[in-house]
Amino acid sequence: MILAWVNGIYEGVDAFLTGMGTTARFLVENVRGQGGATAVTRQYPQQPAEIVGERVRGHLFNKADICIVCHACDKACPVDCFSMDGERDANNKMRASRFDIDLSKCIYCGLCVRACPTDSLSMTTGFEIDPHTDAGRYLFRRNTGQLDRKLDAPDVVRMAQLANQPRESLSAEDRAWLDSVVDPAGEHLIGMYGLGYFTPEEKAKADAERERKKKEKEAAAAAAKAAKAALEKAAAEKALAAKEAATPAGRPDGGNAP
Amino acid sequence: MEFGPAVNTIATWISGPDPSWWAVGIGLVAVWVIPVLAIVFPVAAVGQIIERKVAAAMQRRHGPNTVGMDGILRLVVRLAFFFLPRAAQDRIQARITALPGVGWTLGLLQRSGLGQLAADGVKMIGKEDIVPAGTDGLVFRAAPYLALVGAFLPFAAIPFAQNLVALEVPVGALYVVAASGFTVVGLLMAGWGSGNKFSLLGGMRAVAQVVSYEIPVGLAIAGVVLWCGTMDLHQIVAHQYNGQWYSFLGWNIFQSPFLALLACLLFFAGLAECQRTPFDMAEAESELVSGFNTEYSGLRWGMFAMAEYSEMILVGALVSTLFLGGYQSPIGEPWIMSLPGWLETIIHAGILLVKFTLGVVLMVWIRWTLPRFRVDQVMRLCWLTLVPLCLLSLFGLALTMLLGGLAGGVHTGPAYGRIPGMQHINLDALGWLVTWVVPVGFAAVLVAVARRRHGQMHPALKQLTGGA
Repeated sequence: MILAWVNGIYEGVDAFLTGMGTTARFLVENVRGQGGATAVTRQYPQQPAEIVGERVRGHLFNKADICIVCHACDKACPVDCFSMDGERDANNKMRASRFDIDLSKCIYCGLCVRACPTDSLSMTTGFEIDPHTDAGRYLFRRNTGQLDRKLDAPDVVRMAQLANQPRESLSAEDRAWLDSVVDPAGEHLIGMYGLGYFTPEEKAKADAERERKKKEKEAAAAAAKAAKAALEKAAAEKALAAKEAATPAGRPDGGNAP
Repeated sequence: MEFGPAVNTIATWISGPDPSWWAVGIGLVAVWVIPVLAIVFPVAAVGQIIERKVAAAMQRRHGPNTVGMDGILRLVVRLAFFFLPRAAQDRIQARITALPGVGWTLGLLQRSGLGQLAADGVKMIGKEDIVPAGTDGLVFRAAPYLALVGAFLPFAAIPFAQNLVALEVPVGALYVVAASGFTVVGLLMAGWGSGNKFSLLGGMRAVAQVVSYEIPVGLAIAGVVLWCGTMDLHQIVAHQYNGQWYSFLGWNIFQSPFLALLACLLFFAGLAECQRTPFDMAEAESELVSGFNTEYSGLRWGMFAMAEYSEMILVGALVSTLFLGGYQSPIGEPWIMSLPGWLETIIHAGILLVKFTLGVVLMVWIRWTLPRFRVDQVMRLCWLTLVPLCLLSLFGLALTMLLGGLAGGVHTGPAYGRIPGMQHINLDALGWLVTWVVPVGFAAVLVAVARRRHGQMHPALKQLTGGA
């Protein structure tokens, strides 16, 4: 029994010293930076990610030309980051006239991508959201003049990849392309894309524009309707007049009265 | 009861010769509070940063490295040049930062995480002090103070330097153990007053653990008391002085293997008394949310944290005082004792600071190495390992003293400071070798036999692992 007790103490001390040696080795290696053992934490804003996994769930992208505005993503979204409007196009297909994704709300859960029946929604590998970094600025700051420029999914991936590198390390071609796509000096802080990037002001402006167009259209429709009604009225009057002309003059009863 | 000479000096300075009791009280508080405020408090605060940096390095992280002191510099510049426009203030700040060494120092403060200290302190002070509904108000509010008192009271008897000791009571070692017992009252009150099941469980665990581990602590201290023949901590320090330039060989830890073992046991039992990992049953966050301090926030929580780190320092200081020569330097004392009093005080206090800081670092190291024990394992370790080992060491120590005394008799050691020479067992080099070789050899033989008998791997396990 005493021997078992001694053995237990020996094993405890042995294990304790082994553990202390392990942590001490880690500490020394980390402090001296030997063998690639320096701190594995990346200092995020200063050291952007170099390798991003292929299946990373990054920013959402909507391919607007095949989106049917079915609101499946809207219903699947747990945080209500979608807002969209649709219109019928020339072929009478439903197409998005507005498709906003509020990336400041998005939790990157990917439920909307699963819900999408036409696979128009997808997730890119871009994840930068801090507008104070180059990457975030590239992704989220656009000019009003670039609002209508649509980026296809490969473009967004390329943009995210370029934007995650320091601007100085980019080739001239890449930099020119980035600058053609986004405006690094833009002031827009909230990113929404799909059909465009909006700040709250820009969004309000675009909404007002849409309202105005809608009203114009309604007004036009009303005018057309009024014109049509006027035309019909005129036609009816004409027909009535013709009918009146057909009956014998001065004899409203058609000359049948005694 | 005797007070240190510094206490009497202050008291005499206040109310003349034959000072009145209140003057003695003021002197006592001053001499007690000065080391606590100047040494323990900063180390307890910096200890948290040390802990975070060491933990980060052991886990290949960075730890706090972002918050610096340039904000404080900016604040100072803003206050000092408040009459200038802001742009001018910024330019002044830039000039100051560009001075040789300043920018480097600021960068060092930032990378070392010390700037985080100020940020954490301001955050803790600024936090809301929540007293939840359903708490026992007075008990809840008083608990952190008791914990802090229990952590700070024992420092009154710890000698920091020749004169920097408030209480030179003849029962100093006993006083330290008794006063640190206040902490457990604070923890139990916190657990009880919170009106929370988890807090109560944490408080009860703290009581069970601390009360149990006070026995090995007491036994380990008893060993030193047996060896030195006094309970006065200052005399214990003086007893460890051998008058040579290699004065570290006079330290208790090198006197006998039993004393070395007792030092380890005291250290680990003290670790358990601090409620730190691997013994942090009282706030086992995986089981009890945060144990006794679940409901605390802001400055009250900060008091518990401060009490914990102060207790770590206390354990370090106690082990240093009892086994590592206290505030003595390892390379002889005359070169310090011949200096003027204030310089001697600073050097001696600095040496003790280095010693207990090493103890604190060792505790941090242990914390980030070992996982937490189960409750029953903690109790089993105390009662079935530490206490028997302490008793064995006490027995062995007594035997060493008996045989050593019979063989060599006693001699009076060198006087140290104002403490006259004390009785030592007379051990020549051969006797000293025998006191080490015989017990260590016996233990080695015992361990070898035990390994042969019980240390074999189970055959099935051996087959599974290939005997590794």
